[in-house]
Amino acid sequence: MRRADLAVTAGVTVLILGPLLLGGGYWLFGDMVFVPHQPWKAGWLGLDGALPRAVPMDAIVSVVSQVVPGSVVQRLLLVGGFVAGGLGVARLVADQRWWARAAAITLFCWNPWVHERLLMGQWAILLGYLLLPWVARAALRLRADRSGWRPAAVVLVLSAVCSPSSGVMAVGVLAVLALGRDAGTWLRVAGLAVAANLTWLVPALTAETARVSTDGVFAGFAARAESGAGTLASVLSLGGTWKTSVVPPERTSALLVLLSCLLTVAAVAGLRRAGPDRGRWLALGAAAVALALLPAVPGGAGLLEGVAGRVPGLALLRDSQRFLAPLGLVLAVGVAHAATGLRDRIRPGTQALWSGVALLVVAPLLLLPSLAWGALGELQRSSYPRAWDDVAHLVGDDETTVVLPWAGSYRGYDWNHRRAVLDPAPRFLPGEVVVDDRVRLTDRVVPPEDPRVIAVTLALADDDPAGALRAAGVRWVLVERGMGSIDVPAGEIAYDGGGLTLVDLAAGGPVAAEAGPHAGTARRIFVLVGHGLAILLLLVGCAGILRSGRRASHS
Amino acid sequence: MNTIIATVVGALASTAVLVAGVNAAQGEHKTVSNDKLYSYSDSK
Repeated sequence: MRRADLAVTAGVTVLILGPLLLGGGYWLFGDMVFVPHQPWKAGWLGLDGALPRAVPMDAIVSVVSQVVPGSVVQRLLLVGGFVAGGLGVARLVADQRWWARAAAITLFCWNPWVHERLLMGQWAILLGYLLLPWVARAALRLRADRSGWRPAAVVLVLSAVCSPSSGVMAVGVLAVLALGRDAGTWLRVAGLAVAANLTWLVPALTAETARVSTDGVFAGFAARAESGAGTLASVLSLGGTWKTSVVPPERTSALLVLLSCLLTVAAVAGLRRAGPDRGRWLALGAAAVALALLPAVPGGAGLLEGVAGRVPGLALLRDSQRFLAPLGLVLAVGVAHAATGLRDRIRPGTQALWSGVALLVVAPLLLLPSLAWGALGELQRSSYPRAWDDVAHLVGDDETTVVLPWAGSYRGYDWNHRRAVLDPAPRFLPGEVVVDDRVRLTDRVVPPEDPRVIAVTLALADDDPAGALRAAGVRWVLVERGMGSIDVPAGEIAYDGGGLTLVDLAAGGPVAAEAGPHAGTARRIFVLVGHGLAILLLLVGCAGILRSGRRASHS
Repeated sequence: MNTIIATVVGALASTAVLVAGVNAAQGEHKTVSNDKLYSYSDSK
């Protein structure tokens, strides 16, 4: 490890995450939810019949948070991710001088894609992105040495652990950079890709009780222009998210987006110096742009929607801008070569080109100051009121809780600076916790994916909601106050305080035994075998890396 | 030649700093109102 790379990476990491590192509490916004101790649930492994959105990452966080507080887990994951990303991309351009590597680190870790995903709270997808340099390194190694599959196995499993889309992206990067005419490598990559992604593939393919809605979602989640410069300019400069509320203010300036595109042009020009791999890097970047733009081009969303009805799994592409991530890696490699190219042009009388080299290093920061210091202090730390712990102690492991208000799964608590965050109750409370998982976009509502949500919606609309909920197997109703008026089903108040009211429906009559769907035995076996194979692949890969490392140190 | 290079680089850097700085400084913390909380693309 080179000190300069570590210093630049550490500087960038502290500059982004600084406010989180300076005190206690959590960053809670968007999809970023950590709790003090996340109770274990079968659903974390995809054994509950629901779609595997955070499988098995939730399982890992749950296990680790039994030993280490959730606030520490959050810091370790975020800091570790940025350090891994920065050092990884520096190693990818290890033959370049330190300032060229620094340019790669700043562009890779500090760009609109990182900003927008961080503010959306998609930390696991961000971690998957930060692993991409290691995927690329493993791919290049596999191409050079066909027996060197172990690093690829390890990074593919780790990427798949982050999120399904991260796993798919990693496979894409590996395929573009590693595959050649050798059929053996194709087979090896295909085998690794499938085995590494079994952790979410098996639960997804065997989920019988849930569906991913594709009705209008491709248009709703399509990449869009952040400024008057248009969608293409936004995407080419690593921006263009559908979620307009997380767009940094400077990205609404067409001039700034066009300046960012200049950086992209410089990086792409730098790829000409990337040796025999330049074609692969360019192909990878072009594929990422094409994928991100697909739902945004005329007819693209309709086409995807039509095909998604017949091809399961295509709904994964609904937020296609996230698949722009490999472009960040490509541009980082390119900008390192661009900096070296600029340096090579320095002659007596053109020494001022050093300022151009320096500009390539700091340009990402100058073009996006909003990412500094927790989005310029916007991301403030919060701590859960004691009421959350109290309520969690009242609910049993085998009981079902419905959370109100029944209107989407995002909340704006006073204690969390009114910032929208995914309801923490499913991760804070033991047992089955049902939250309205409909996603409400500006002009449409994405239907629920969980059949339990449909059942609870019907029960709440019943003349006797308490009785209907009991019949659906629900014992508890957790009411989160401060977000509008709520009709609370009749029951005994078991807890009231700290913005939470816990209503016990069992006081009004017996609660039906079965609430949510449970996976059959065969499905559970399939899911567990899938996890087992992925873990085995990870262990074999790690053992192989350690063995070859020991051999190298002895020789 | 050095003067031209320094001028171009300086102009690019100062434009970026100025435009990004002004826009970033104007960005304001948006709280979540009850009526917009559940509309995911409008909430922050």
